[in-house]
Amino acid sequence: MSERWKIWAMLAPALLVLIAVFVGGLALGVGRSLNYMPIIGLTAPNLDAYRQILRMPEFLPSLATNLYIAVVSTAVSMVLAIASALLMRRAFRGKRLMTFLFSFNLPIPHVVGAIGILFLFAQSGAIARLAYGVGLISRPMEFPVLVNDPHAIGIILEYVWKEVPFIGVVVLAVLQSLGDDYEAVAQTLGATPWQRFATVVLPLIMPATLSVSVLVLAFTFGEFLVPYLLGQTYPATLPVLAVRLFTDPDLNQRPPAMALSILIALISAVMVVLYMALSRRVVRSD
Amino acid sequence: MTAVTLSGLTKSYPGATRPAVDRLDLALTSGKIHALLGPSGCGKTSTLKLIAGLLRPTSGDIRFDGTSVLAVPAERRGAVLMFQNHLLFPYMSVGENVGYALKVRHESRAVIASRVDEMLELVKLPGLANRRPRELSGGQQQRVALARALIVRPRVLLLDEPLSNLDADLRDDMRALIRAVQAQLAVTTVFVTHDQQEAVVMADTIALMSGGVLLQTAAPDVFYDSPASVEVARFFGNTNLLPGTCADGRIATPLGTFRAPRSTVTTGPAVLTIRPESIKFSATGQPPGANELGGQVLSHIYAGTHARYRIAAGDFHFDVITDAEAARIYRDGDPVRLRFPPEKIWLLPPHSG
Repeated sequence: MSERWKIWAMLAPALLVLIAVFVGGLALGVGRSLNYMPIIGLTAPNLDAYRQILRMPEFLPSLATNLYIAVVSTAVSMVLAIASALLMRRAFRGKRLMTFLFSFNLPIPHVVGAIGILFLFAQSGAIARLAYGVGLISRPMEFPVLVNDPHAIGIILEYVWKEVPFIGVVVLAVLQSLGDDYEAVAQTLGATPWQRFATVVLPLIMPATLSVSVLVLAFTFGEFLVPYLLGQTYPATLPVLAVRLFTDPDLNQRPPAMALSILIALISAVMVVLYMALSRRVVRSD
Repeated sequence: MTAVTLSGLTKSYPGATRPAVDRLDLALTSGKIHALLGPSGCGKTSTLKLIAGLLRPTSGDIRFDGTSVLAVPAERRGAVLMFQNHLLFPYMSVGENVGYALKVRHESRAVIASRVDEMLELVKLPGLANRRPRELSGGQQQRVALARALIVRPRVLLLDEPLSNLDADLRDDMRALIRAVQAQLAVTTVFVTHDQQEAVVMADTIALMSGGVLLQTAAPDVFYDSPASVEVARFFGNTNLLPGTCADGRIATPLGTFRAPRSTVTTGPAVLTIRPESIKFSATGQPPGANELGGQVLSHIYAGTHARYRIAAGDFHFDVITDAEAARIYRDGDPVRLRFPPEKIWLLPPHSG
């Protein structure tokens, strides 16, 4: 057996899984969304399911909610992550403890975070009860609606809690590998602290920060569980809508569920491409 | 034109056993090139950062033209630092890099553009303003960094090992360029190096440091002719040391008595030093005369333009550098006669420790 074949033979199991699960699953999904299922006699593909989705009154509000949550969560996480990384790169007492606490929630799953938010911020949650207990509010219902609310505060809180350390760890690593010398040069050339941040630190960390935040953007756009637990019922986010259709007892809802899933993937892909193109223009770096 | 005075300058880092810079007194005359020379960890880079204002001294004072600058932050001190690595901002063009100091001072676009062209002309890189730093060679990048440092006409130019990242041939060019530009702008320049050759070639005065302490400040030739101590003599390549007792311009040593009019010690214990290139040697013919002694070649290295010999005399070894011709004549094991010219001998106090 030649070297080349050996490599292919060794790669075969991984390729098989990849093709069967990813390409195969995706192909079946696309087929299903196009009402193409030869096994039950549907051999003429059409766009009926897509039409049905786009005609749903909930589709556009859901898309708007989805975009709002993804963009706000990513932007807020990015700003907070950069701020905390800048604070944490300096040497200070208790830095190791801080670094540990900072990255503590990296391995904690989103579902745990979402339940935590629910327990803390719901109108029946711990903070509301505490506020009631100390007399800040006279009834638990006076506590601001932060969970299952129209502004998706609970969802954004959960994402920010989880993604600030994720982006922050990357930014911190970049800052530490850059060292202080670029800023020292700028300082002796006359740059004020703000100018050093805006014209030296920010442009230097931007490429890495944007690459990691695009992952956050794509994730927060496509995530189901967190909006399912913390989101409002109408308009639900697109993934919640898709699962709702998929689990409908009416099997006729399966093709639109598939069509919606494919649409989510497409929109997500377009967003990532746009974001990368935009960030490349912003950064202009090598 | 700015004179820089350091007085009692001390910098201690928390947790360190001894200060990185220890009560440094140094007067750096206006418009000259000064080298801070020493092995790594001797405190020379800390001194540079203290002058720049990037570090705050533990005690002592830094004065520019007689006025203390300790209260002036680095961004307004007018002491520009250039690092070993060019540290050009990779996301800016060459022109934007050079014009950076004017940009942060909110100068107009037109002023910046014309000053940038002027500076690029000065460092012999005209017309490269629109390039990216990564498109330039290492030597060109370093020259852009120099232009960036000089565009605001700093009071003091600080260079941290400016040549050590360059290849040997580029180093000569850069050295010449720094000297030429410095002479043209007459900016007081302080540069840090561990390479005594580089310090000697580039600087008007050298401050030799070791362990945070200043060993000697002088013009380069003084370090060769009249080093202040055995340690300084060693750092400048003088390894020939012969202990003795001096009196009346003579020193009595285990190898005989030598006439030595040049001395820091008038009487008592002293160390005779003589540079390897100052010792003359010849074949043994007659018995040794005044300031001469007999020896034997231990080993020698032919180095093209010269030859290095190691010669034993009694219990002592001497390093001798001769012209390359000698390597054809004297072989290992040959008996030779060494001559120490009296005017080349320099007597120092014994090594204190």
